[in-house]
Amino acid sequence: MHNKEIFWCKTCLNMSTRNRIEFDSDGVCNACNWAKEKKSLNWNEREKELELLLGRHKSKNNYDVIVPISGGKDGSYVTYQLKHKYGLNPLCVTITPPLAFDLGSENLDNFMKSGYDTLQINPNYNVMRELNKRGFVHQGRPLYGWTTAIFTAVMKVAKLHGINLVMYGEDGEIEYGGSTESKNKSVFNAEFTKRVYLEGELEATLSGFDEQELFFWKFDEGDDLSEIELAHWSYFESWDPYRNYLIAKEHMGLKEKQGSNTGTFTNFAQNDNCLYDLHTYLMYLKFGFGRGTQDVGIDVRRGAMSRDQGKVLAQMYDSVSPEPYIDLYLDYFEMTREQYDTVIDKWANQDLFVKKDGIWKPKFEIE
Amino acid sequence: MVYGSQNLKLNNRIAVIDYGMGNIFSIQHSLKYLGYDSILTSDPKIILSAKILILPGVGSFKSAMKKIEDMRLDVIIREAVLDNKIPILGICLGMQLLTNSSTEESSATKGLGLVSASTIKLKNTHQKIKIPHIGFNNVEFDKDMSLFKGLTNNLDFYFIHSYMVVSDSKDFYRAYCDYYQRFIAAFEDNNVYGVQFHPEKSQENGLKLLKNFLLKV
Amino acid sequence: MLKKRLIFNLLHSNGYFMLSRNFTLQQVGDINWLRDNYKFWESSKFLDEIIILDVSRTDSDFNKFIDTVQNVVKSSFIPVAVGGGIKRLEDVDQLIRSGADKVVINSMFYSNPDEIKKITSKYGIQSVIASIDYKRNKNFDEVYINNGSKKIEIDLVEHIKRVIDVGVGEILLNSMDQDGTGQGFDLDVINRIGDIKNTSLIISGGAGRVDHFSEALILDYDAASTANLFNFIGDGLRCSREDLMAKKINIPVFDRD
Repeated sequence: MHNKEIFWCKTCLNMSTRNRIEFDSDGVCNACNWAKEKKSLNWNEREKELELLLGRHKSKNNYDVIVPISGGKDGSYVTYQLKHKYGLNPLCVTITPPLAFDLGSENLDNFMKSGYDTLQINPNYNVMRELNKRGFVHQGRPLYGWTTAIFTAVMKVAKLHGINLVMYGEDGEIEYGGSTESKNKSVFNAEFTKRVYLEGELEATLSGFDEQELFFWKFDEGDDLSEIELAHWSYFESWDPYRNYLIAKEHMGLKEKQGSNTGTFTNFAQNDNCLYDLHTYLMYLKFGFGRGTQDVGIDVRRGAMSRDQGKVLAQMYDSVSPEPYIDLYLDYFEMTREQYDTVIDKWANQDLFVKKDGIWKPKFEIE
Repeated sequence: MVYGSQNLKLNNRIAVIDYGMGNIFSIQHSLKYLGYDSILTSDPKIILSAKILILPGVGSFKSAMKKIEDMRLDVIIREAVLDNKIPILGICLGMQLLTNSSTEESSATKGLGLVSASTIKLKNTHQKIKIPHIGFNNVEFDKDMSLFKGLTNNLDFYFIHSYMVVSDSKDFYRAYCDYYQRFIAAFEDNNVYGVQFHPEKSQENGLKLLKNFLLKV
Repeated sequence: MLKKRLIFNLLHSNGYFMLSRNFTLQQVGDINWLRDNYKFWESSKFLDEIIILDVSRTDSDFNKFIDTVQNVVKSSFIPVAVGGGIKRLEDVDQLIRSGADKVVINSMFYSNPDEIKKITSKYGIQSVIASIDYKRNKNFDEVYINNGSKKIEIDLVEHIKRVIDVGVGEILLNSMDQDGTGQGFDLDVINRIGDIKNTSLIISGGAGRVDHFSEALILDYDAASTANLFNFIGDGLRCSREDLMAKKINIPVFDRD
């Protein structure tokens, strides 16, 4: 089938449908160009910027920095570097995910037992569940409640504890494809980010709850975050997910799944909850690329695979539906299978997919 | 792998000689792939009435000959080949066993003596030579040889051996391999055939060669 | 002329084939997966040799392994070397009877070299491949046994000397650092191991792209092996062979109609 409107990055498999992604005149996406740039970038200068930033926040008797974590490889790596290489005192903050995998809980446990101060927040389970459900039905985003809470909760903790630096892992737009607007920006102001982040559907999605129940999803007048700085580790050091995995494995006892995660060929990333598998499957149905394609991109940019080899894997794995977990989803969302399928069907992009024998099949072939 | 006794007569076409040494599984499987059932046997009655004999072999010439002699198979094989004129294909060590003798260690061991050739150690003739000879190497052959019918010259076959077959007679060098020294890669002498390489391990060309041999019958 | 070899290494554990990343295993699929997704029997036409290793970390089912060996041998017409947890001559007897052409032995070279001599006396030194797992450590290389879990006290150079003394046809050097990373082989190792006399050398660990093999075979390695099940699915093995031929590397030529 000849695809006129959609196209793929010439060097990895990023699709033109990806939100905000940028391509150059050779058809190469910004993630690949950045990967090339990373090889010859002056990282010493970036490290100096990091040292200045950390110097501004180093505290004598308090935590200096917050690291949002899940127990997975990325947050673990950032925490490790901040504490052991730069001598800071990080406070790790994690928001318990819905439908957590035992493996995820075990990894978080091992992380904490490796000696890192962690605040584990459990926002109101029912509110989160309702928000996740609304996200699933109205936006095709089943983790909406959780991801919103992660942002808000982290900011609230920062404010409460007077910690004015939050260090995230990677800037996904830069590393994996998206807007390059903030490529050369080392630090962001939390107040500004808050306004941008919370625009859009949030107000509508939060209707029908008591104000008191929404502590982890809403900000008040008094929540002025202008003192707080946000940064991405990937700005200061060349980001390498596989390296993060090896460090987390060696120093925090990170464990992998026995087999691949659904929708991909890797087993060492995003192991904390099974709703993520639904999230990536919906991403596939909405945009045409799944978890397999993303992992292929990472490996191609690492030089560990060629584009052609990646194509075969993406074709094999992207379309895998999270069948093993559907009963869990139905139970969690209090839905029937029919209702669930109706939502899935609603989000499948019919320009890209057609339903055959009850399964959504791609109309396109990766080129 | 022994097939049911009812089928013994039918399957008596190809007998793979069992003296306890050799990668029988692969040989029998290749034959089966080519459409031929075979029987793994040391039974003299079956060997003497077979249409085709295959002599496999992996390991030491001396141990093999001892086993063969202990089982009286030397007498049986000679009778089958010389008297009953049954075609026999020796593979790798099997090919070497068909020769007059082998100079393993310090003494010579007698072989089956069915061809005018002998087995000697591969010589350390070059600083780059790796012995045992393990891997794929090309065989130059005379296009009139029936084993190589339909195959283009200089194809690669799989070798794995430390000893080689040599002969005073030039006629035996119709198919040779050069590995810092020339040795006999395959011979056909009346109804006695031998291949130093493993045709069952040499992809398509190996299978073609096996088929050529089987079609002789 | 003796040709170089492209080898595929199947890692088997209790009926499944595994992917290894820095010696951590991920389950990929069973023999049906191999047949359907890999079309392995088609792909084997582009290989020169197959190695099957039983890498079970817990008690392995030897019979299941034998089944797998036979299935693989039945579906390809190239040499098959088999190993993983071989402890005695009887294990070797059974594997050779089941279709293995050679055996791959690792820990036994360190823990019981006398048993190896029994094996080579019976089957010849050409029937044994000595597999060595190693890790770089500043100025020398460490050697590990038991599926990479136990470091031994001698270094790679010393261990290789001992292996050659015991007597083998081939040595397989497997880089634990490169394993599963897809970043390419540890091409330098040949310069660090001293004189291996007339022993063939197989390099393993790190292949991810089709052009990684030519990088190794253009050097003095006799064969290059990969166990990367994901990266060579589909056309991967065919493209690897084409790449070797395009770069005029001497690999076997088979009759192709």
